[in-house]
Amino acid sequence: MLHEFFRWLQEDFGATEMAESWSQQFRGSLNLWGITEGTHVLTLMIFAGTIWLIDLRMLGLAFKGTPFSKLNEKVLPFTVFAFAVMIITGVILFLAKPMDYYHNVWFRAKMIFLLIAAANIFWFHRRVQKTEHEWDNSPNPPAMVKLSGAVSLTSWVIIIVFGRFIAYNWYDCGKPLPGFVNWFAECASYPGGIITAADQESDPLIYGAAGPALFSEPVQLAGGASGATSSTADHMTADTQNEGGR
Amino acid sequence: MDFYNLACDRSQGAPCAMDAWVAGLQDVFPASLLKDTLWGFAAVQAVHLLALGLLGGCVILLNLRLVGVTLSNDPPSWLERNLRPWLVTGVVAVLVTGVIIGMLNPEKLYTSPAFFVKMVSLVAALIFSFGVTNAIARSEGQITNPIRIAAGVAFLFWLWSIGIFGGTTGTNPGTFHLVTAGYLILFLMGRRLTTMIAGATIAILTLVYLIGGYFVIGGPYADYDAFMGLTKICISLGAVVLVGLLGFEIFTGRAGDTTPVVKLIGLFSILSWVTVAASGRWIGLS
Repeated sequence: MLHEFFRWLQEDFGATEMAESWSQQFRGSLNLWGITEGTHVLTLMIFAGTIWLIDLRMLGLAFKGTPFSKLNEKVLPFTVFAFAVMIITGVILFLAKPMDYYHNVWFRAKMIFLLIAAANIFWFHRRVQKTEHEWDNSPNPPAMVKLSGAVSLTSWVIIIVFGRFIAYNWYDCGKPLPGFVNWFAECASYPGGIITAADQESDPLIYGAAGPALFSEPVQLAGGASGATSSTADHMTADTQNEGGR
Repeated sequence: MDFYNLACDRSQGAPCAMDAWVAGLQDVFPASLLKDTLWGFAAVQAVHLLALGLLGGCVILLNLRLVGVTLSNDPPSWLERNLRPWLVTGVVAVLVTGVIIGMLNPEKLYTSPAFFVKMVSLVAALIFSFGVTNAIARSEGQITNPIRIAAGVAFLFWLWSIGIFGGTTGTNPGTFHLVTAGYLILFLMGRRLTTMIAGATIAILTLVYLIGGYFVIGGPYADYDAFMGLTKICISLGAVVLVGLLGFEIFTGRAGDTTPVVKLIGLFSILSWVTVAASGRWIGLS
């Protein structure tokens, strides 16, 4: 159901006989996509650095001599502002390829860790922060505080890494993929449906030559059978193919 | 301008020794270990991004303190002491991963004006962070002549970098991020009148860009050159107003406990690192 909505958003919404859909126009725009994506990435300089410093304080690793409440009060507003910018630019970027991102393994994993990070924030405010007066000045906060700080720090690291990996087409639907990936990305409803290693064996001309390197190298559909390209060159292709559709 | 054209005079068609060196970088340790792996390049890129986040937070907090807008009741030396290990971690990680990314992708960077901008602004940013702002913060805002000279040199490198950034077709839209960062700092430090003028400027330029952009590109005649021209005009006008307003705030605004010169240094230090990051992103986008 969501697939159909995102497909419509990507391919049909705003499209006329004369013009592509709004989503495709945005993706193909001269500067708009680049500026939005650049803003999304550069805002990490405000967001990640500030939230990690607060997490590190909770872990007893940074600003040991400073009360947590003071750091939280002075630094968190930057984090919150940057978070808002990242959410807004993130949603706009999603609209460039909603159906493809919906079926992207890394995008889905990123959303799961965003939920984990959000749950941690909720738990921290509702429970952990209630006892703040007890450990506010402590250079070595109790285990509960450390746990919350560690969960936050780890989830944001993972979210950033997975966000970067969205640009790579290793596990895109439409390629021969392991069963778990096909299931996790709901490739069944993606154009072309589920493609497995068995398809690749029976039809190597279409899906690339089978072999031990089956899932360790990006396989190009239709005509990508020349396995001679170095993997570094493939990284570059992955980059340009996925970043802005140019 | 790019390293490809700096390395040799290309007009004669003579072979250039630098070309072979660049082409061979992939086979040098540690790039040689990663070049045939699926994950190597992506993993290093991801760490580069994480390090950018860490160093960004440290640079922004310390320099906003020098500008006088956050944690202004606390001594700069306290902030510098607490941020130092994380800033150093971030910068070392960004440099190590950056070198590996460059070795795995050398020919693209060799001919990229955005990469040239990144290297020039990196020189400025490193001088600011490890030769200027750290020393100023440690001495609670005191500034000596050697530090003044270092700041001047760093400022010139930064000016050179943004000159190429804004003057090269293809990379110039990336200066949008620089202007945005400048306005954010202005909103943090500005008095009411300044922020109102800044807000109005942004609103007008956005409208001009969207409406003008529709006429030159959305209408029946898609004129890409005119669109790039419009982009350049809007960003330049935004930058001119920004420079005026920042200057007005720094020299006539709240005095705080730092001098206008220290505020300028804090401002240019943040903008240098933003230039490094923005031009880095536009290597892939231009």
